[in-house]
Amino acid sequence: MKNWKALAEAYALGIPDSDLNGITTPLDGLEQAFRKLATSFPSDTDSAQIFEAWPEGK
Amino acid sequence: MTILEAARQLQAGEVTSVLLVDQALESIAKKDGQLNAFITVLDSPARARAKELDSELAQGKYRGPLHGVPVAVKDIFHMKGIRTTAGSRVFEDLVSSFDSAVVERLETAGAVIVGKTNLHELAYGVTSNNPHFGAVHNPHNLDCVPGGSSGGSGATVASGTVPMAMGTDTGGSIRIPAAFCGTVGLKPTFGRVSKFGCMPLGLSLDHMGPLTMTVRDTAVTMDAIAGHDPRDPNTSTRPVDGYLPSDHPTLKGVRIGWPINFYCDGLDAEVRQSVADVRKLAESLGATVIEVRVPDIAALNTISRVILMSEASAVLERRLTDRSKFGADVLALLDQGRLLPATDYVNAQRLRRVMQQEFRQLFDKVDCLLTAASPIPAPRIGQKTVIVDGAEEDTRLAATRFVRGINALGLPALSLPCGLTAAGLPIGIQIVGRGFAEKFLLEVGAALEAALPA
Repeated sequence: MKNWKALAEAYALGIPDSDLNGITTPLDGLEQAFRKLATSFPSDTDSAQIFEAWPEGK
Repeated sequence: MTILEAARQLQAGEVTSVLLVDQALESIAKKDGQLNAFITVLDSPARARAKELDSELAQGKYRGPLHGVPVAVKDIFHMKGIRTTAGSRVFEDLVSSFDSAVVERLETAGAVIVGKTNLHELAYGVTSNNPHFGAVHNPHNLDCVPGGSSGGSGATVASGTVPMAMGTDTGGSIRIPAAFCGTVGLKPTFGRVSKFGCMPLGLSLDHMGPLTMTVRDTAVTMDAIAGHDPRDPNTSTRPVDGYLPSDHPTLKGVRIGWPINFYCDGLDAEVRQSVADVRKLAESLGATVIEVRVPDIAALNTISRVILMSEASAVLERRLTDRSKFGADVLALLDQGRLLPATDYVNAQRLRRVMQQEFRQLFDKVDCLLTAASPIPAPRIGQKTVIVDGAEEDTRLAATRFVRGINALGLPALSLPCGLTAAGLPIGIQIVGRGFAEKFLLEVGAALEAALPA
């Protein structure tokens, strides 16, 4: 599992230790569920959000 | 009184807008000490607007079924000259300098906004147990939550104070309070109702929609608020349907998908029975119920959570300079979002596309899906976990389990009351349709509503 406390410190997020203690368990759960999914789809899959360089009608 | 009944009486001269607005304000004064459904009550502006609308009507100018009808909006929609708190101490003194698109359209349609409703802090939660403005209480049992985040909207509609209150839905925040309070609630298709002027939470997940006591009132509200808005680039240019269901709505020829995975697991026994009864009712009304395996909803919920946490933390990060202004649950979610890597957000958006494609294939076989809106009835205020089907589950995750993923798909979903538990708490079903199929969902909803016991 990721070391969330070290990450928070490295990002200088200013999250107190007491607050960090309460979020590591849910973050571990989310990480575990998402990590499997993150490699489960074709590598050329586009994002659901599409950038429009020049919107229709502009 | 429903919107359509008020409209009939107003047109017949049996009531005036001033009278209806006075009654709504009296109801707030009488009930809000217990419900705490409102953050701001607009006594004077509402009475003044009602007088203007009565004059218009006397002169033969009729704006439609919302003309002169008292309504409420969640305190997350900007309304010029009025405070918009989003249920947060961060915005407790923010006075809006403009109207949101929803407020603008409701007022153009003649609705009189009598107040701004209480909500879960920043619309980021499902209990509406607000640490700054107090907990909203469920009118069916004051010890229970009304759901959230649009809890004040659900509570005030269910209490009969106003026939319609606007909510927003980022992970179930219209459908959960609708289910817990026993109202109708519609999360429209993403892009059907403008988000302009609504304080954002999940940029690609936020949806605006009404909570009402009847399907027809949801339809007439949609007639007023739906449509393209150049100020919201997400809004669709597709023409807006007339949403009012037919006089004799039918389910004949409708293919209803009945999930045999995910949505049948982990339900409260009374909710399970009630939703099964609706299935039988739908069949008796002529629908063909097709058992289907839905794509991986647990995965979809995970994807949706990654997107929401990332977007909400990005939106609100600049406000985190003073952590004391946030409630503990919201602060914990915002902190979690700041620790997710950008690569996870991008991959969640890519997975979202994969899931959209899988769902489109499902909708080749069926016209809509029928599920419970929530696997549980309303929990008690302050209850952190619930026991569902013998297993302990976090209250927030349980309440959002059946609704959250639909936000990532952007599909329209209607929550409809379908009964009460033995303890008298409402139960709701969810009907999910193809994109922009609101008219169809409302027709299905109206057919079921007419056949369900009152």
